[in-house]
Amino acid sequence: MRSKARQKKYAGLYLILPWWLGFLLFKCYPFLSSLVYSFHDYNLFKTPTFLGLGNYVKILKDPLIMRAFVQTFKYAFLTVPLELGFALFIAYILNTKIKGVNFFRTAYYIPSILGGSVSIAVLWRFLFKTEGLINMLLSKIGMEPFNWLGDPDGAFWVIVLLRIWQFGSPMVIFLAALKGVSEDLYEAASIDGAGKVRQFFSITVPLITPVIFYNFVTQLCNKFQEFNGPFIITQGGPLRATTLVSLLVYNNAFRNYEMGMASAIAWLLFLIIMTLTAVSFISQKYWVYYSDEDGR
Amino acid sequence: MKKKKSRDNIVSWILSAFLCLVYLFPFYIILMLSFKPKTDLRSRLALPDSLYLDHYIAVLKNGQILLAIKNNVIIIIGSLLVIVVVGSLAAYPLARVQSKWNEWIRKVFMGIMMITPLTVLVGVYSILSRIGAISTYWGIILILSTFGVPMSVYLYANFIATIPVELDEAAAIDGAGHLATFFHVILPQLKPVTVTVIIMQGVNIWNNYLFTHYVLQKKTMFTVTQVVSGYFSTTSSDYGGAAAVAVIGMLPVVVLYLCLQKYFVQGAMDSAVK
Repeated sequence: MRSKARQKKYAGLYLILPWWLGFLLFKCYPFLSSLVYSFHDYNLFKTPTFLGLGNYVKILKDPLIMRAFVQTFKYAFLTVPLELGFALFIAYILNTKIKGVNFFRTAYYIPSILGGSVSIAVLWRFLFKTEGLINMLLSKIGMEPFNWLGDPDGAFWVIVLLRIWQFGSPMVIFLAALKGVSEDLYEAASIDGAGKVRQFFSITVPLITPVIFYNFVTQLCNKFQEFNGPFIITQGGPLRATTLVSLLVYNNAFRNYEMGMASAIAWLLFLIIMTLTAVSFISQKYWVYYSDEDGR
Repeated sequence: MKKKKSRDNIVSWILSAFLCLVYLFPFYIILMLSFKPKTDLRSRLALPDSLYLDHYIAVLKNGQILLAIKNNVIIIIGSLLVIVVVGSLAAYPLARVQSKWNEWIRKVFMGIMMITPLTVLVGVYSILSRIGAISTYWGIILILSTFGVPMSVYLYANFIATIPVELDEAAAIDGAGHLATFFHVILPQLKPVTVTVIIMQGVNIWNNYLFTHYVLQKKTMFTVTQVVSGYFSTTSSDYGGAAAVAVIGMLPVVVLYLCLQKYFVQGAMDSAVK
């Protein structure tokens, strides 16, 4: 009898098999084989030779590779707060009962559905070329045109701006969270004499910290892997200012055919992302507010 | 009091309208670029005198983009079939079986979501080249669906959890097995979430570049994103043509979004792992 109940409990789990088969073959295996390659000198054509930690030592000693890691940190920690700040700001405005909210929400979300789309990157190049639109506008208001894509800092900001512009998906999530904050709280606060700004920071922000947390972690993971922007808009240049880690992986793997090195760099990046995520999760208990109903 | 509120709203409205204009400006520019002859040297902001279609005609005549659209359609249909079938099948026991196992699988699932495409890039490439899947439809379909399935499992599992278990039990009493129950009881109810899955994943696949870029190396296999980027780098003086290709690359997604907006927003919110 007991075994029958047991059977009932677990029967049906076989429906998961197709998923797990694909997962093992195309995710788990490549994931682990990348780890193995990272300890080897491997180029697809000859048999791998074992290097131990050789590739990793080389990474730490190579100033160009370290630069890419530094730029990636800078990129992620610059883009994510600005993007989320902008997303929250727009969501806050759209949360008031203004006319045409639906239209605005639609419009603000458009760039984000195109996501990492190549067309968007191409569009961005049109805007920031020397003879592009941004410079044309600058000269109209009497400012010197600037060689955006030729200047290391300029090019870096161009790829940062691209992702700030695509703030739609965190915005939609913020908007839903803001709708969940009870009107009563604001009314009580305004009776107590708290202004709009004060209300925002003392009521709104604390109550939506779970959503801020979610958006922060997912966006940080995304930004650490940014590829399309720098690959298409700036090709990693000028002076390697926009050579992020993902480009390094790509160049090593598919330009130099150094699969071992590419794997080592990719694994290092993965470990960094994991660590940052873990730190974020641990930090949760100090600043993220979960209501008791959630039981968390 | 009331007056203050309406004034606030007007300020918000003007602010959002202004930001919105700035925000959508890049799209206006690329449209103008694609509809103006190269010789039109007047302000790039001005509307063209007449609708100039030569860029589009030239691009379509070249034929590459049409081939790419065909490739995209094949890859999207193939991947979506796998994602929907495998995803909903796997989600069913996950949503129904209550046990320690289940909790464990969920945790592993969260871990899987964390594995970044970049980390497995080399491993995936080497396994694909060993099984001869480079520059094949089935190769790219397998990879894109492997990376699409976890999110669909998540969405399906959440949805199936809201379907009353009594329905399954009734079917079980009638002697239906798990597979039969799934197909006759559960599957017919999954329509709304399937639409969300199809849209979210379809758009992702349409926009994908990282995987298509190195799995599809034959020119005849190129997807739209690859053609757009190729157009931009090879014919760098033909801005009109490049703009036209970019517009063609964006158009289907934007149109789909404008028609089926609520599913996009729903999808973005449902996939927020709480």
